[in-house]
Amino acid sequence: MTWRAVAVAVVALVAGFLLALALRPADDGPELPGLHISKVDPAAPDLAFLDEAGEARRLTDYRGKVLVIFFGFVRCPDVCPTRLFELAQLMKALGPERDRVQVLLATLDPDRDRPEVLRSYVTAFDPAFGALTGTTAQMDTLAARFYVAHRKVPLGADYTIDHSAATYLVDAAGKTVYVAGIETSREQLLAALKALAARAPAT
Amino acid sequence: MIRARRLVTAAALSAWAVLASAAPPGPVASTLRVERPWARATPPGATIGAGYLELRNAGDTADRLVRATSPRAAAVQIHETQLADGMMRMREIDGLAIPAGASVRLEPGGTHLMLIDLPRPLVAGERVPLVLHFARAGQLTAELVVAPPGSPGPAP
Repeated sequence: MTWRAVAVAVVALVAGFLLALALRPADDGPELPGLHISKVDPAAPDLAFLDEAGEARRLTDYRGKVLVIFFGFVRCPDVCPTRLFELAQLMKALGPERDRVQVLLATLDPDRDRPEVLRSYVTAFDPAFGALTGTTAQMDTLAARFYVAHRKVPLGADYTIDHSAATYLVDAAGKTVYVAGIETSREQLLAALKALAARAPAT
Repeated sequence: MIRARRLVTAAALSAWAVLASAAPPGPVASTLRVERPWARATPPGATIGAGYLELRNAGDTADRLVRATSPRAAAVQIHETQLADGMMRMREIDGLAIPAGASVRLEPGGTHLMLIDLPRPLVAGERVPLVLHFARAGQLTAELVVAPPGSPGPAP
């Protein structure tokens, strides 16, 4: 009966391999240490936003550049400014290749974070930083597609927003989304940005 | 109108200063030091800000920061930023231990002071008066120096 066990094992292995191939999109980008590939569809062609200049934008408009998306909000007192400062430092460390990278703050507080508010906020960290806003429904949909959890929490007479603190990298082809979490080191994030920028078309 | 408001603010500040200085100093106050107190400028309309500093306990007795107050905010809470359920959350904690001989940092992304219900945003260059209340050392005063938006730390 051993031959039957072997046959079952072989069939299981082949099936598993085929399943893994089927689950992995054909045009996945390279593996990047410290980050994981997400199945999020970064195109979101149905979602229209306003950028920091008040111009209509879709995520597909940014194709050709590596996108770095961080979900947050302007009045975020601690976590967001800390992360945005780190991203500004990474852009400096990237050197000339930073022209192939666009950092975007996607707001989770769109009622307050209108384009002009976002522009003056993000450019305080780096003049090239951008932002996305829209209606609450649009931003909620975008957050949900990126599996970003967020929740308003009352604080004094105001509120703050608890939210997922991951940073998302979208390759220049607009196909593959990488997730950098709290556990991703600065060096890993910089290496990932370098690798993705090297694959982006020159500007 | 603006001048009147300034006068009221000045009066409130001096009243506060008198009250704060009238409080008896703690018995071991000299062994606790507040270093690099700072805050980040807040965007227009914001009513919540974060304050950071380092507490150095040169003594051989542990102490505990139990609360903080400021005339510049309706309330000051001691907060901890923590990762829970995949979300970064700020939670109020009811005090902060300062072990003997240790230095405890309140810094971005970690434990910090939350300035709540600011009547107006924190402006770069401003100095925010702060009173820290310790279980043993009593009160220590400090001034949070407000750094420009986007700063990672106090201006050098």
